[in-house]
Amino acid sequence: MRRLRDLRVRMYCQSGGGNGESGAVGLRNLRLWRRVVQLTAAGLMTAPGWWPDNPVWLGTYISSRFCGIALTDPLAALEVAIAGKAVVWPLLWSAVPLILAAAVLGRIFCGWICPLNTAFEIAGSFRRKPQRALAGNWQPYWLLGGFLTASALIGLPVFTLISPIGILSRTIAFGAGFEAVFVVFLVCLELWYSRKAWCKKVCPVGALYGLLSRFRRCRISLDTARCTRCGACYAACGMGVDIGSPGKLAVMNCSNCGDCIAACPEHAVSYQWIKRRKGGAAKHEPFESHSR
Amino acid sequence: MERGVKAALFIGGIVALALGGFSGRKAKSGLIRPPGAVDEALFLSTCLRCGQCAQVCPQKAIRIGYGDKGISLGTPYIEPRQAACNLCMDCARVCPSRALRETAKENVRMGLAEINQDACLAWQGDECKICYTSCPFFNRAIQLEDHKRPVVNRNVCAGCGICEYVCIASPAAVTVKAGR
Repeated sequence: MRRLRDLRVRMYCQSGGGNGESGAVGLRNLRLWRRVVQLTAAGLMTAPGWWPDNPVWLGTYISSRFCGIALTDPLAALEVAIAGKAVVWPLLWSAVPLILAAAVLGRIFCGWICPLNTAFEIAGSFRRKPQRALAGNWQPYWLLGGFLTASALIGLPVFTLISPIGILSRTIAFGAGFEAVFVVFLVCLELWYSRKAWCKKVCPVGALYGLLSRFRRCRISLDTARCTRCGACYAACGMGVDIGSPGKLAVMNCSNCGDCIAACPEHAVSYQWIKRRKGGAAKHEPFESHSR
Repeated sequence: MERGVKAALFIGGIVALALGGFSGRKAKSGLIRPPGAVDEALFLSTCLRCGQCAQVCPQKAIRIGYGDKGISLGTPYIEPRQAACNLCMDCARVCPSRALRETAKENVRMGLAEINQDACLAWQGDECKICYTSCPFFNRAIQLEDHKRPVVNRNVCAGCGICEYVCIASPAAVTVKAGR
């Protein structure tokens, strides 16, 4: 409670500080806000247990009903459609809100909701491993194709079956079985191997969201005039994205979490709303790659 | 080793494991599914493992399989002795992938009740009609032979498991067997 009040006071002071960048300064506390959203989202999954018939939440992150709107993870919906060899329209419709959200706002599921990512970040705050280079790591995208092919061949939603996101969601909602060992193992990787190794090297859910968010509107942009090449943004990024780079993988792996925005001492990093020209091409004057 | 090769091996391994180990067992998991479930193989293909059915169940009868259920990990099942289904169909209404489909109560076939005559008190000569009086298809799914001994009519029994839940013998003399 006290922390929240401090936050309000700080935000007030900073926006009153008024050197013409109040919008950007308000984002200083983005990390705290994100943590609040992540933990609220995870807590929400326990709601049906202590508040039956609540109008807000039913289900887990694979599929749920949020304020009456059916939401289904796009990969799970796709796998089930492929494995069951049938199109279930309500199921596909329920994936649409998340697909649209990803297409406009990017991988906000990864950065702001995913309980596994939350667990990684909390573990990482105790012991942070140095960043490992991501360059050219297309493995999640290969695996996405592989899992979809496997689903078609076996007739089972293969990734949904073993998904640690699903396992962790169900653990929160229904308690832990021995399969939770998988999640514990992945969190241990965070402590002793690399930051977000699962997200960067394996997760096909994130890969699908990455593909969907390839041409998103809301992006992280770097003001190269202010940037001092200190590398603070890169060090803050759990996904190992080269901040401000227009490279395909950098755009697709960025989860729009905003850690880089808060980390930049020069306020050079910010969210940017990309406008589109009539021809359909994106205007990208804020994107000037700087190599490191 | 090249990354693509590693990925291919990983996927290949999963495919081999699934084709070799799992597909044979697919149609007979032995779990009692919630009412309105499609047949077991299709159920395993289309169940999202999201758990909404379990959360919405007013009887708290639907459980979610842990890792010890193998390929049924995350799928819903019912243990009637712990809590039985009352065929309200709330689960089928929330199922997003139509692995559970809303079905008229009479057409539900979750399993079939079987009476172990050696354990049943009525069959042993005592006065007990608890399964007979509790059955939602009263005097149809469980009928009394000679006004005393219960017998299951397999054409009517939906497999809801209320008889197993209420049976006063321990362990229950009437049990529901999955997979019809």
